[in-house]
Amino acid sequence: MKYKVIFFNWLLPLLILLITTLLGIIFGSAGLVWQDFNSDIVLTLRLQRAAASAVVGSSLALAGLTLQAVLRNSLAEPFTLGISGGASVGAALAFVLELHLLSYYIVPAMAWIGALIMLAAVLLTGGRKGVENLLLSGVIAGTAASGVLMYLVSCADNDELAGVTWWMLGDLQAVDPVLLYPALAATLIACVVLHCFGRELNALALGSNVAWSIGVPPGFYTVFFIIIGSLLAAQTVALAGMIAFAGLIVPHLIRRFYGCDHRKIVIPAALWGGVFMQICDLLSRLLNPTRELPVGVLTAVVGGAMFLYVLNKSRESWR
Amino acid sequence: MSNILLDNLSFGYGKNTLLKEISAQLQAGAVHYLTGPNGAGKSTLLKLLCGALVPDSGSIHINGKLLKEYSHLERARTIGTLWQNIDLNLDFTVRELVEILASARFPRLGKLAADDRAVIDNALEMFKLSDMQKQIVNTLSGGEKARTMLAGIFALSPDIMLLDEPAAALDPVWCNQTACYLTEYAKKHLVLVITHDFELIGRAAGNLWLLGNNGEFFHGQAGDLLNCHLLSRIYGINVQVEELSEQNKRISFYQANQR
Repeated sequence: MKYKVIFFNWLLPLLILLITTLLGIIFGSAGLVWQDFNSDIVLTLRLQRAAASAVVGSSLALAGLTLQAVLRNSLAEPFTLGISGGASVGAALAFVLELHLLSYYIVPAMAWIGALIMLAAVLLTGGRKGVENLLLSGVIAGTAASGVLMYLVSCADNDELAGVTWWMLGDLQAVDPVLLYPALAATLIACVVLHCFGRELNALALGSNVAWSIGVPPGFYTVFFIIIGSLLAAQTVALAGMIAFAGLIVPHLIRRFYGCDHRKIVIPAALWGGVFMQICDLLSRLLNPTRELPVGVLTAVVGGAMFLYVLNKSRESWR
Repeated sequence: MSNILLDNLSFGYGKNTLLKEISAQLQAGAVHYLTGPNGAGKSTLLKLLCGALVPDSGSIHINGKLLKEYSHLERARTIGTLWQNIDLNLDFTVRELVEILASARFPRLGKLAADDRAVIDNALEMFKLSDMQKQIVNTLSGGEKARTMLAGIFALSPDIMLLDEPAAALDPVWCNQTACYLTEYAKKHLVLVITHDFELIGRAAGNLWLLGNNGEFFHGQAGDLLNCHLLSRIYGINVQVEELSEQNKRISFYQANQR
């Protein structure tokens, strides 16, 4: 019994993560590694890209899982709440104002500020009036953010343009290695913290009264988890731009197969999140080798269908 | 020595004072009841008693210690609260929910020890939930959900048990069974039940806290407090109290023109 849990929660996803990483290194638009003359460079680039996919996928899955528990809504995730939109406006602003030349960390910092501002706006306008309102506010905020993003694009010079445009699509090919390792560390830390605070996530998922009475002050922990969730979302935007719905698909599948007890599902969610994004990235490279598909396009199409499915299913349980 | 001591407790939302200078105390021994018309402040008092709201003035002592001096975990371990409405947005199983509701007594990480698991097994068995422990709570009936919540608070087995309408969704058999469990539990722990069920209150052996609409508060032995003058004043409706036997009163409410 115990070994079964260890196998399914840890070993299996870890094994598959290793396999998909390997596949990510072997396959690519430039062909197989060993056919290439500069295989060292290709190897490094592909390894970085595989790592970036894993980090982005894990972060989005963890952010989705956390926000869904805290906001008590199975459709909450960085993209539907408009956090990703806010983050990308922040990040794009850093580019347009050329703040990114000052320090590498300005872009993720601006992304986080944008994410927090957007989240605060969404929660203050729609948060207290039920789930449908929250999502509606989030979608509207996301639309407003993409409007601002369009404007920033129209202001940008030609050489800046490429940098800003891929934010709107969500793309893993241009991940900056300087940001990759801090993001990897942040994801690991967030994963451990969330795993250790599984009891608090469970408590908040039962509403503020129950949370309080089982010893989890809801105000403090809601803010605590929202900060973690928005940090995770912001770093994915800084790394790879807006990737839609990944934070929705993975937690949904995790809850279906592993249950809802957050003391048990944080680590599987992080690992399978990485696997999911690596597979999406692999597909995006292989579907059209001559001209890569941005991975955000892929997740948006798959996730959009999923979103509608979950929305219609969960509507029955909404009062 | 489970006890609650309220000293000059006042609380209001904004300028409206809901509870005015309440002083009372409760001890273990028998089930105590809290009742009053809608909007009198029963749920507010419950939130004050478990610390979720902070009184405007006055103090609450639980087991001789000031409530606000408890740590969150210590408080959750000592005071168990069963809330009336809980909406579940996630698909927890019966067993998971019971474990979460009782989680203040378990270690926060790692697998539960055998005797901790036995505590949960026992609580599930009490409410005949063992066979459905792997089912999703949201797919159960209202009564089964209510039993799951009750199993959670019995698994916690707190010193002070506060229950808001625990029997509202239960069928007569489970109402009775739950009342038996509570009576037994109240011998050594403090049990306070919020209810509108005057059949239950009429048979109460413990104390009754009666909240009126204008911040009035009456307390005392349930048998002494239950008289038609007080009840008709508080509820603004005619009340008849018949003494069926010792510690069993029938309380009936009727409009003036109904008789």
